[in-house]
Amino acid sequence: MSKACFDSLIHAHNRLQICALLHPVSELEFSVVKAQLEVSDSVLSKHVKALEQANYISVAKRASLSRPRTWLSLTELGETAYLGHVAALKEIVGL
Amino acid sequence: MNKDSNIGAEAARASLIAANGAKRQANLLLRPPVWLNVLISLLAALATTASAQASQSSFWTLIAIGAALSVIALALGWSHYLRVSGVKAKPLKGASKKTLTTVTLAFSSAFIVLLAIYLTKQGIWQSAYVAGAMIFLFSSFAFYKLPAGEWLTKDSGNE
Repeated sequence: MSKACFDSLIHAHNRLQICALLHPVSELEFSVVKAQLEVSDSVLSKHVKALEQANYISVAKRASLSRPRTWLSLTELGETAYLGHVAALKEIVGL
Repeated sequence: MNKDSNIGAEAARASLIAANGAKRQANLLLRPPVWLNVLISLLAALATTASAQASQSSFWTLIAIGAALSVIALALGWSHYLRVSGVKAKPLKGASKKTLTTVTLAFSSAFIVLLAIYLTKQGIWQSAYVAGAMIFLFSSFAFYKLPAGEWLTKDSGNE
């Protein structure tokens, strides 16, 4: 069980969804996250940069079939922060 | 970083619903399509039935090996397709809930197969088919409801 800790960086709607999308998987490609959130490249880039600067997600650029691809994954710190934030939200709701 | 919360219960509930919805979407990305689920489950059932009958003829042994290899090939193919599509599944790590679920499923399936082999050798030939049907249901249910090793809820609301 994670310690409840409200995190205002993660709480922003899109950033919370990015963390929630990345939590059950090892990595997701930038375009997959973009399609799931239905946001533009620039909006997603902005949120990804904010999370990356906080060391909550890691961004890896790798070429696959001669096509550059950007992979996003939740770091250990990010996972702890995300789970703590969800626990804090549950506490507020009273679950 | 500001770690203080000054949001109300309604806003927190909306955030939780959004987070659960996104988590569910990520889990759905890992779920194989129904046709593949049915195909893998049928082949797993065939491998089970054939394994139970294998001691009686080399024909069943061949079918068991062929079906088992096909299941492995399809699972690897699905994993490769996911990677090409931009989704990389999480590997099993430590004593997590996912690891526990996966290990429990694997041991339960192995137990069903071994029991079927034993009972068939005892002369209860129907057990091979019952075990095959059980593995089909078990496998299709697991692929449908536990694609990422976590129970997939129907709604995206309160989990």
